[in-house]
Amino acid sequence: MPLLCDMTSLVRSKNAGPFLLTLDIIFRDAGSYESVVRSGALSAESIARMYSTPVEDVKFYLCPEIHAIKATLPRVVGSGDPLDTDVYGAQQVGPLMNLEILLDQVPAGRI
Amino acid sequence: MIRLFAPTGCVGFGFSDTSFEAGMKARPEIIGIDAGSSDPGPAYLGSGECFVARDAVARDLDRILPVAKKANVPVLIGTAGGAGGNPHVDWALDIVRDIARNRGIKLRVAVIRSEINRETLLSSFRKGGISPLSGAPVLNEEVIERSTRVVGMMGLEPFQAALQTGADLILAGRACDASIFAAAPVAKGIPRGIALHAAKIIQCGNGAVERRIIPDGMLGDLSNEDFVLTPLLAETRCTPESVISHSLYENPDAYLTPEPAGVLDASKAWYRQEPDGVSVRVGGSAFHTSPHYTVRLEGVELAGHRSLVFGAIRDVVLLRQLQPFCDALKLKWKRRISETFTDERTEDQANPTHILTIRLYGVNAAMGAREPNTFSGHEVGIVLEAVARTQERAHTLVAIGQNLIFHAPVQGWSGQVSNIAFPYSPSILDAGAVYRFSMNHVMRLDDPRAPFPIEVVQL
Repeated sequence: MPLLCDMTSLVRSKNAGPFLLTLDIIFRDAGSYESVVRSGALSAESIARMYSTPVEDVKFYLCPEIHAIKATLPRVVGSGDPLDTDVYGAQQVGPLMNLEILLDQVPAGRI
Repeated sequence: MIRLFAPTGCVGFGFSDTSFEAGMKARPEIIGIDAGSSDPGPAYLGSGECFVARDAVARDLDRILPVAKKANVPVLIGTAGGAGGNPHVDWALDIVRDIARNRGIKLRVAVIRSEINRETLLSSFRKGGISPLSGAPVLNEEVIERSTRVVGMMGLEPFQAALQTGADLILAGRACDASIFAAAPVAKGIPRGIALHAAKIIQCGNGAVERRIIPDGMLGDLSNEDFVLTPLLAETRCTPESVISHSLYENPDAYLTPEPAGVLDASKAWYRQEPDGVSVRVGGSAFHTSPHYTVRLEGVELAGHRSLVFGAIRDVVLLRQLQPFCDALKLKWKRRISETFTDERTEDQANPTHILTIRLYGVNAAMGAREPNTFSGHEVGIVLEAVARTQERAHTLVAIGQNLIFHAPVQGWSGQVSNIAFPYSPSILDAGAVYRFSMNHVMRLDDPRAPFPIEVVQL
């Protein structure tokens, strides 16, 4: 099974203000984007599981015009808090990159 | 039509001379540069320091200000000094003063301040005028009282007023990035959707190009219908994809951006490559005016002072039992502190006087509790850290932890062990004051200019 990092041109995490973390997943092409969307591997629910966050706190966006997926969720603590681990939210991508994608046999472009 | 020029994405990040010359040759009406962000964390707003080096800021401004003055193009700087508080604005003004003196130029500077005082905050809070943004900490009067510094993010209106003073340079405190660039176009009648969308992209300099090799400049040509983005660095280009992808960066929403007067809506925007293959034309951006005008508040409070010790663990027998070893150590560490100091309360008690942290690099240092993987490897970096009421006490608390962990018995070994490779002597680092964000709210304003006083300074 391919990993998400093998199908994307960029997977990044970054603060969106001091209390939110935003994840941008930009696919190499429309085919990769469509097959991941179809696989159901990425959704508000799967992000919530991966980041141990209630699903109602996850905002999830499909951006087909640039074959990208975006999700925004709360940080564990505010940026720079004494207990923070990542001031810029720059390295919260590990579980996403290693996500295994179950591809089906439907040709790309037929969602 | 109005042409905007952003020489770089942040004052001090630099740009190429060739690009800057090309930008000036295009005869822009406005030069704008963002100078700050809350991204480097709460420490800078708290301490009054800038996250960019003084030399780097001076170098960029020294290249821009004399040329802009000669061409009679106003320069607008937002979030001066990195965080936009009074010490930050004063720091930036001091740099500008040096440049004016050294270059022998006269500069009329409109300084816009953005610190919001306690009385204003309390009175607005009591009237229900302050509401939390997503994820914001709980706000009450005590939080307002103990916050070290609070700034409001100004909208277009203070910039528009400052432009009317005929200033060569507008040096603004904390500002919405887009306000720097949208102020002049909106004053000229360009629709807010177009102006703010263009401004939002241009404020990052060449951030929206396909492959950003170095931070550099961008031109924006705005009309009533659309805008065109043109990067200035040779061999870089914007594409529709690069511009849309950039709009995802650091924004919580893919299409909507809240601004003081309403919401910028790019959900129906269109993006077209221009025939030159370098520029992109954008249109269809909308703006929905909100019933209330609000500015975002950024506030910080002092959390304490930090000391830390860093080292490496290479003992594979210890690494096999690392987590229980650290858990036991932390308990011992807490106990030793409470035995030593009667005035210290740990995080298990109400109003803790210190926070102890053990960070394990190679295990879960980046993601903490959100890390799904279990450790496998041959070496781990460890940080023992204390945040306490004074620097001296933080240092002492770390020293206690360091003594405990260095010779703590490891199951499987007998005899004296030395568990950590410390790279430094002295090994304990005193890291200074630690702040936390205490406010991430919006405050309702009747007058968008009221909390942002303008003072014209002749240099």
